[in-house]
Amino acid sequence: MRRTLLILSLVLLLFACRKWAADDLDFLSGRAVYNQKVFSPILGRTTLYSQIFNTDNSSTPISFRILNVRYKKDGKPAADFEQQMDVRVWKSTYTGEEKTLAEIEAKRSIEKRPIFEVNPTSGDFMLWAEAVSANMRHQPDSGYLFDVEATNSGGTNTYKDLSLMPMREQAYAPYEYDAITGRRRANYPNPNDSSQFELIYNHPGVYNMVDDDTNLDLKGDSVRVFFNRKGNGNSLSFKFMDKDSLPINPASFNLTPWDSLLHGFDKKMTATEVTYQVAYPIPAMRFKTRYTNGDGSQAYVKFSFSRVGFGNIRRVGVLDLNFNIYQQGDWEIIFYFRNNPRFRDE
Amino acid sequence: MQCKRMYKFSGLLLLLLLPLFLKAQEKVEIKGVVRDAQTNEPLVGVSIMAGTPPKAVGVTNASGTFSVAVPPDAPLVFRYIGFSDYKLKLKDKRDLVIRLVVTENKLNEAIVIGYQKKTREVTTGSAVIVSGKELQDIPVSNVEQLLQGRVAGLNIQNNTGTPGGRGLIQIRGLSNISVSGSGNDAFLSPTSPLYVIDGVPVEADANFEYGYQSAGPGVSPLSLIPPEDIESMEILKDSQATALYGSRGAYGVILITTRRGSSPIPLVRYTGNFFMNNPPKLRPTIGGKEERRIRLGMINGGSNMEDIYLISTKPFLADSLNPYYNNSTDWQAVFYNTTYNQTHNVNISGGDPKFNYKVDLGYYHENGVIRNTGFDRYSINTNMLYQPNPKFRVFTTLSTQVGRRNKGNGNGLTQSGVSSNASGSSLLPGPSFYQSTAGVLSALNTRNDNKTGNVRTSLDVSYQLVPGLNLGSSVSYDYASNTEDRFTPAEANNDFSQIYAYNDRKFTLYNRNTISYNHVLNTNHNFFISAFNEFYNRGFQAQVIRQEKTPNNQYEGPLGYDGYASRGGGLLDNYSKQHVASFAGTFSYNYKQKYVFDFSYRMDGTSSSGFEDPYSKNPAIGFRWNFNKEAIFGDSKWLTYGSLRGSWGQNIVPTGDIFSIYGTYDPRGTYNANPRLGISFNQLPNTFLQPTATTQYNGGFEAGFFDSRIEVIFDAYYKTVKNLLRTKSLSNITGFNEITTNETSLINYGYELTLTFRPLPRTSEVQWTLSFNAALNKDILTSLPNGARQLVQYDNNTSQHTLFRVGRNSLTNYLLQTEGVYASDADVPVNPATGQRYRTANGTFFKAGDPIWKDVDGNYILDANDYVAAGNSQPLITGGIQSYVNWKNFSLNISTSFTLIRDILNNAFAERMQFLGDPYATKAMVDFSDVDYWKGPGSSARYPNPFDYKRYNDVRPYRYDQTLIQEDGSYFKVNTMTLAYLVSRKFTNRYGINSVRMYMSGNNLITFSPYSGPNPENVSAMGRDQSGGYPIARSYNVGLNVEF
Repeated sequence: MRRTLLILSLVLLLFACRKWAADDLDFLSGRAVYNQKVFSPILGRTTLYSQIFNTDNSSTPISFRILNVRYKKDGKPAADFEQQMDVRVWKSTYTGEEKTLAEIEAKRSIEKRPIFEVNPTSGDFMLWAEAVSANMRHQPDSGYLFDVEATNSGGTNTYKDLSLMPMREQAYAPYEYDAITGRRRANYPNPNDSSQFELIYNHPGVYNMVDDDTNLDLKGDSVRVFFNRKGNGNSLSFKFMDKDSLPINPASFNLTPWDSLLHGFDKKMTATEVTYQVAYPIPAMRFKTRYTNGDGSQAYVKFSFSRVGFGNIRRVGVLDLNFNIYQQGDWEIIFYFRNNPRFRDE
Repeated sequence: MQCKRMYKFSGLLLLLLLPLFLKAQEKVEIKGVVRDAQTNEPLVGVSIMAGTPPKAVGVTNASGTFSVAVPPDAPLVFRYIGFSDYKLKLKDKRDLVIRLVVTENKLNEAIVIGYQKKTREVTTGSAVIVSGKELQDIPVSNVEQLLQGRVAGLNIQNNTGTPGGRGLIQIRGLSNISVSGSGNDAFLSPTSPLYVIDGVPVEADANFEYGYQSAGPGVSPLSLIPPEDIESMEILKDSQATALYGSRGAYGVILITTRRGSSPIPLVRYTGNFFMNNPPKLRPTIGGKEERRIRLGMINGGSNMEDIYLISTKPFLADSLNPYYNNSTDWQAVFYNTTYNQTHNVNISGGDPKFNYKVDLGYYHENGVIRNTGFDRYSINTNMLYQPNPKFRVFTTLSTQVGRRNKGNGNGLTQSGVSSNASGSSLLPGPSFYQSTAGVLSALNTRNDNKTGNVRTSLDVSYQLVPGLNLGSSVSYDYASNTEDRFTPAEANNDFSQIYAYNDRKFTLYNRNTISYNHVLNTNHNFFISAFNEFYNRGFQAQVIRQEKTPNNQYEGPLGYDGYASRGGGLLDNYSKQHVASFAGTFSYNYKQKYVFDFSYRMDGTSSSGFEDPYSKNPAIGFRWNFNKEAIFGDSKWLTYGSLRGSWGQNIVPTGDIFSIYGTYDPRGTYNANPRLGISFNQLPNTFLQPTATTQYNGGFEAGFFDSRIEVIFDAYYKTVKNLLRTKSLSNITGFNEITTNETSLINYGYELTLTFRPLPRTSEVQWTLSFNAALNKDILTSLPNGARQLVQYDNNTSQHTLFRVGRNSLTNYLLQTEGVYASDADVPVNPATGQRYRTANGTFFKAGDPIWKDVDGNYILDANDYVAAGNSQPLITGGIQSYVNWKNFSLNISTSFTLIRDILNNAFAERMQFLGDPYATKAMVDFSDVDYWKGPGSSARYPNPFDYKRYNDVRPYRYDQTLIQEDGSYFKVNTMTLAYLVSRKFTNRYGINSVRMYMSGNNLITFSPYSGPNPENVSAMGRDQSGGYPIARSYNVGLNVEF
């Protein structure tokens, strides 16, 4: 009798348990998708594709991995993504307030990473700056195909045939070479005649400058910008040349705040150029500082001078440029004046 | 056992002394009074027996006194139903005061299940009785409040203090996951149990089903019942117990029995209460100069010239010498006040078993602690029983009740207008001839006349054809009408007065016809079989008129129809009409009351089920084994009773409406002067719609030990709620937008424990009963429409989304996980690829003083993928402890309740911290000195920086949708305490008064809780502490009970 009672009480206790209920599993929507399936990043710069996975209210985190990488051209498996490179990653954020080059460098460190990877929790894709044309195929090649597997405890989704078609490196911007062919860009006024063409040049902003010869205002296309890589250091120089390719003394731009022109250090100013030690890329990251444009996407430099114009009106001539330099090196930016600006007072 | 020995010993003593009495052999005249030991009330009709074997020698009269002549040596027995026999040997005392003790043994309680009375011993279901005595002495507008913490598995949260309102009530957990409204007003559709008042089913959710947007007075029918008139309440929890109320019993059933007449001489009982309602402690606010100083400090500290210039455009900041802005107004005091209230109740009853009657007149008056709110109740409840012979019985009731409610400018449940005005800046001038805010006028001067009238009548006739075979029929009609008339003066409504008139009517016609037969075979086999049918006819319709622009405030209507002044109205779309027809049979068998078996089967057809399959079949079975009757326990002294029971059954509640079954036709204007009707392509009719059904397994254990001085009831259950309605969107190729289906279901499982102790012996001067109950309930969502695993109900108001995920608790908060506060900028994580700090979706980088929200998907952007399932708005454990002590003429009654492990979103706190985020807004500045907020780089704090007003709207550090404001809402509350004194009867009898009882009581006395907000109970069913909630007053009461 006692035993029966005991058994019955045990049954009673077991009454209320959740053995008939479903398990608490994550939810992975069958309609969760990548919003973008073809990626054409430019080699030589770190590119992040963020917020491209629409989870359709699936439970997060979802774990992602890249599978089945292959060349699009022939379908043969490719190992290019897995190349482990020493990539430069940010440890803490760049503020634009750093006082030395070392301070900026301390915010970055070197890590071994595959050159193209997926963020394992968010599905974001990252192409590191160390992916260059030497180790990756690039357009006009058709690039790579790969699959991504997304998993949580609610199931697994596989996204097939995502495509990576990188562009060749563009070491700086604005860039006057074609993104796919790498050839100099030009305008063809007559579509039927390829022998007639005008090369496309980069121009800075030119305001309130007067042609020394004609007394007319300088137009924007009177000045061309050339980016020139001289070596493998960490410097950036600005040079100004007149129509005869003779150097203009940078001191002529007498209103320019040379010390805060850009986030550079060890300014060396000579009669021909002004040189800074800088951290590449420029700007170091997309973040609005005093050295960048409004959204922080490009560095902004502004050279200006003041002179007395006609009628004793003070005129401030301005030359400015938004630019990026992605590749490390000893770079010089040359402003070539096709018409000499007038610096003297009237 | 010792006592028994004592009895034996004293009996022996008496025997020895017997010769002494022998000399006085002639009968002696004894007199005295018989009283209830607990209440000290006289007991009428107690039979007095003398001799061996006992022979009746008399009964007590209407005042409980008796005078009988008995042989001096005869043993006397006082016997009264519901009380233990009182035996005594007469000594030389001739004037006796006999105190009968209630048979306190749960086994002998009479239980009404399926409209029949049974003893608990032969009940297979789970039921609990609460005596009406426990529910008196505390004046409340809704008697339901007093059940809190008394019944294991009955979760009551008195979450609104609004007079005449109603809290949340659930039997055995959640039965619905439909949430309407958003933000603070997110409203969980109530699933209150079916109330059956004297056999008449009553819709307790009436006037509440539309949440905070409910129109009308919003008075629950339960608020119309005076607690003084309640004899007992019985809570039926499992499927077997509720089986025969099945067509609406899925959420459990609560039976209310009102008082009956039982005294041949009419009794007049008066109960009066005078009580004071105190508003709870209000939040401390920074006032006057200090407020301005903090605001200016914030702005000047921002070092932004533009902002500093902006000060000059805000006169309340700049113009400190202007008397208009040079104030320190305590806005909360404008709206909240202490009130004095009263109730009166006269109960006249009388009669004998052949004919008895009762008339109960009640008046209740309560002013809310928010000005311009209150509730009045007037009621007359009568019943009459007529039984000319044992075969024929007629019972009728007639109840009329009027509730009158003043809602101010709030709705039935919240006072958001008051809360937004009470949170005005203290710099603004207080109420005066010139009003700074129309809201004050609106809250205090809106004229309201909200009435609820209710008439309920029933007739119950039964006749015994042959012994054992009974025929019965019962008819009831319940009619309720609600009206609301509101006049808002022009000054309070943008210079145009507004008139709002609402009226609705609701009726329920109910009929039940029964045939039953019971038979006893060989005195051991008891059979009972019955069949009955049941019909409901219910209807509801509401209209509204809303007009603006009366000529002046003195002219409040009537208004003519005018398209210019009319602001809409007409027949509201909550029209409903419903028919239910049920056919049921029940069979019970027991063997020597040792083995009990019950089976019932019913078919319920409802007009709100799809017409393809209108009948749902609901079987229920139950068994019970009273093992104390087994031979092995036959002579055990420690076991008073003991039993095991188990049951399984299914019940339904009709939930659909005719529109989701039949679809809707819309008027489409006219064509060629002919009116057109077209199909509404919004909702696709679902002709297979089922009522919501619960199936429930229940296992129970009951035992009493040591002469019932320790009693245990333990229940375990597993309840499935299926066929929950949910509207899902349809693919546009169907041509319709949505369809209502039955695909949602959930389960509840849990344990319930009730322990009762009577530590002192029954003969002791002091009687003490201590009872404890607790229930653990877990709910799990088991199915969603389209077989979905997860569904998120987005909340566009506060972003406090609700997550429905199969396999989890049904209502899960879906929030950002707050993991602290960034002490410095360097603590903000940086995306290694871009170097950018963790940021909001609109590009604002986090910095020191911002909350750390977990970046669940690791993309360094705070977005919709970072919400986590966090917290359960439903409590895990509920219960209570009651103590009752009685000593001579004094009694002390304490009732407590607790709710454990429940998550509350402290929206009120978030809101007041948000006010700090805008120094230019004329909002109250609440005292933040006790808040551990971030004070500067490197300081670690629990709460983020509230003063960073420039980035405030981008970061929103005190946003509602985060776990920062989610807190544990466990609490232990001392609900009520009553100290009563019964004036000596000798004294009162001199003035022709039967008894006078005086008492002091308190309600909602104290709450212990780790929760940082004012009251963890005063939150919505979704666990949101809204600042607009009606605070729960603490009340102190002095009462008087006089019986003539």
